[in-house]
Amino acid sequence: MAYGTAPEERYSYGEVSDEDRREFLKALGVVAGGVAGATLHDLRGEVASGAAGGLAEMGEAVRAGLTGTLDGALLAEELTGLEGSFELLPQLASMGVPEQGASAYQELTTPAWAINDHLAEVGFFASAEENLPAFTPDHIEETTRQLLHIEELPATLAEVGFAEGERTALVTNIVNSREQLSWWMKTPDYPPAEAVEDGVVHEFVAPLHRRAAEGALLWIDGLDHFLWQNEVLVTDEMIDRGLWDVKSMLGGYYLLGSAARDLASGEIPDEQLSALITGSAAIAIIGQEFLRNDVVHIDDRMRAPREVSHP
Amino acid sequence: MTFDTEHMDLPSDAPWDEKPGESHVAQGDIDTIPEREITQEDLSRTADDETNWLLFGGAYENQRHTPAEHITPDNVDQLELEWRIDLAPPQALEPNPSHEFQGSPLVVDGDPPIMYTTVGADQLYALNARTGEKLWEHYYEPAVGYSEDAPPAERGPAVYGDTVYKSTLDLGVLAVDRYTGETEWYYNGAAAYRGEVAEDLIHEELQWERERGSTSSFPPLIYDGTLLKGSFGGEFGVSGFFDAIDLEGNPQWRFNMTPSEEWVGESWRHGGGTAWASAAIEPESGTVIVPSANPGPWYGTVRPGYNPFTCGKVGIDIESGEYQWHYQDSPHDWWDYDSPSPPIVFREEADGEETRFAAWPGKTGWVYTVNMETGQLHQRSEEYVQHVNTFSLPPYDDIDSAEWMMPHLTGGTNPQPSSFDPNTRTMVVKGANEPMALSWYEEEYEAGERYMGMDIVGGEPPEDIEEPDEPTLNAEEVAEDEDPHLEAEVDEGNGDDADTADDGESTNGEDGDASGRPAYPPEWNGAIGVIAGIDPYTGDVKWQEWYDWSNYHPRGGSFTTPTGLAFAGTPNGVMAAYDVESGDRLAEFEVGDHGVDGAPISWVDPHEEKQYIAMPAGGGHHTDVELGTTLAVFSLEI
Repeated sequence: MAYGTAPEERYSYGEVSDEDRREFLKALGVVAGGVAGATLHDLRGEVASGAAGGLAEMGEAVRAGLTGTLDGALLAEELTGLEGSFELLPQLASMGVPEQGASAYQELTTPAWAINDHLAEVGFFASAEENLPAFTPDHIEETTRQLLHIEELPATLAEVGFAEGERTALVTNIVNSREQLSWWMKTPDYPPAEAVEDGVVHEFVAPLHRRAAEGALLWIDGLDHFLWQNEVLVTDEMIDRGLWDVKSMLGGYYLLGSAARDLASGEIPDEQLSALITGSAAIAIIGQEFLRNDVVHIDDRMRAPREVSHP
Repeated sequence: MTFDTEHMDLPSDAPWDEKPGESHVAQGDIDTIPEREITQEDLSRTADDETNWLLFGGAYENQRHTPAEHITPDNVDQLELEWRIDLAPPQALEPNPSHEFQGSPLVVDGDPPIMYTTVGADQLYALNARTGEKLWEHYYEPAVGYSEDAPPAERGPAVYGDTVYKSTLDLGVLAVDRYTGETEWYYNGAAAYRGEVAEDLIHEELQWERERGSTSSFPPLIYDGTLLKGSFGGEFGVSGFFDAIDLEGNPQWRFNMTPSEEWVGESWRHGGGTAWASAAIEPESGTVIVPSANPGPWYGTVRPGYNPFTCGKVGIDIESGEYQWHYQDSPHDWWDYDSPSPPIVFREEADGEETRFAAWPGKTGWVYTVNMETGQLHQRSEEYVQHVNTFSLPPYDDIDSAEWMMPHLTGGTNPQPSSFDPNTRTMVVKGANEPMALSWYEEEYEAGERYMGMDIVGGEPPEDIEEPDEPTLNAEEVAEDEDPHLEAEVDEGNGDDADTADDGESTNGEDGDASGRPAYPPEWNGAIGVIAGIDPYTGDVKWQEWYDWSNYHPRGGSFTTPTGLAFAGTPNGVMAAYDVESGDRLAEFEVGDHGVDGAPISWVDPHEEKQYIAMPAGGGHHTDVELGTTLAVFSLEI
């Protein structure tokens, strides 16, 4: 099985194995010694911050490329709402398969949609795609180094309920899923539009970071219907794994919204802005790719046992 | 997520009634055709009337179950060939063996009964059903053109009143006088697209050369004064739609098969989700159940999310065009696992209440059964074809690293229509069982150009394995040995290579190809396809007749009888009669020297006192056997 087509071999569901942590460090050039500790702080001690690879210039360009004004108050308010969504996750775990017409999953994303619409409106996604690289190996490496050295990152994630191991998993998954991430390209890097009248393709394909962010919300929104509709196939394990994927995606969105809020108030260094946009988009992408894998595409090995009832 | 109905605009200034192509009509003894006005009641009752077959699936519920009880297990071997013709081409065309049947004829009762049938591309015929005499032919020369080497398949006409209707490769509907073959009117479905009026007669984004595999004809479906019709072109980057028109050719509503609110950005606009295969109708609720095709492009990173309503079925209220429910066999599809096989509708008692279900086999290789009222999945069957690495993502631009996976993109079940026997609750399903390896690459969209984005290779048995004498494998053989024919043949003919073949490695001492991938997956049982009997309520696979790798997989449809029989075409040129409950093959009848890819029908001619079976047989274009457009009719005196 090609690595990119079976990334589950290196994916962490809230707890990072020694092997996955070793793979993560190896990808960042740390090969000596034993296995580092399990916290972001531990990993930070192992991984140098590096030269930040132009992240500051990129962040500055993203900021300059906005076509509208970020509304800090709106973002702060919706982020507060999003914090409330994380508090609902334990209820979803106990709920299991939703009832017909339920909207429990959909309600998780309401604040995120408000953030999403606002970011799209001010040209945030377009500027991000314009000024940031796609998920190249170098950019993933630089982003990850930067994320590890953002002092506030562990506390920010802890605020919305990510336990220590989960915080580590969010970051290690970025590096360990890098091949799948590389399949998500910037819109202009899909085939050139010259041969297409009116630039059809590039108009119809959303910017990379919007696809990542909005795609995550669509996947979460559809879970009420999908789980109810496929109840005869769904297992507890699928729901548990799906909830981690959902939490990851919301975590990615929370980081994105927080970066935008701090940008609105001028309180974020440019290199951190770049790292958080790329990192949050990566987390949102990984979450939806694994939700697809964990919950939506159900083969016979995964499905609930078939119950045969003769009328 | 609300899945609201989205209707596309139908601009009144679009050229809805203008025919872009040209009709060529030739007539024979048209006076033979008796006058017989077909009513809505006739259509609704055709499942109970043994003297006709007025709808594609034998009834709105698509069960393909004749009420005629004359052919039984005891006399089935007494069926005789009544007539056999090579139907195509029409006089306006040069002979071209590439034309083929994939559809199902209709028979209107009378003295004599008249058969209406289509052949790809855009050929419509009226025949004396007793003799096979051509009474008229109507060849519509589509303005878009079509591939001579692989002309698109046809799936059949519709009849109502004194008119016969067929969909065209120009995305229109042609209404033709049933007695003369002359055009009555034309509905130009390409007159507008996404609410934009075509500059010429066909919108430029709907214009490309039609070919088999990417283009098809939805058999029109008429219900309560409304004609329902689908769309095609998912590989050409279109967004699918489903049309309702009145019986004078006026558009009523156009349902968007890629609802914009559920897709990121504007990706819905090239999202595919076309509706090219035959639908079913659940008459009690007036719901049409529409098969939907793959999303576009094939790789998913430009269209995150579930991509509704692709790769499944959509229930739509016929009168209003309102969304009722949808089910996706493969949400956010990467493998072309769309869902073209026509659904069947059946009733069964569930939880103490009579419940209506829709069931269909998917390309994914399972039968899905959903509650007609809610769209909730009641049951997914046992696998009836093999699954290997199913749903694993294809690598990017690296076909050499792609692993074998099953089912193939041809299925499971592609457009093959299933049949159903309500007495034994058996669904007769045809499927493919081939390995494939996929890799995706980015592909630009250009109006009228192919928009697929996948490299595909298929698995093949090693070249030095001889073809077995007996092309079919029964379930016991497969159960006894995972790899019966491959291993058996290697054992006999290649001595020490047996072990390597059993492991799926190439038997020629080298890797299967430059990739280092074995020539086929070790899990593969060596069968290329299957005909299976499945209980759609419990999901039990009752029986399987496997076809060895030396065949092409079974295509076309089947029908069942109240006497416990099922008739189906095979890839080997014969029509077989099965015991529908056990799958035992009771008799077989030679049809032609090619694949038997059509869907058979049956009717009784009371004047002749015979029960007839018509078996359209074409195809074989994927095999080494002869091509053809054979129509064979068998009969039994009653």
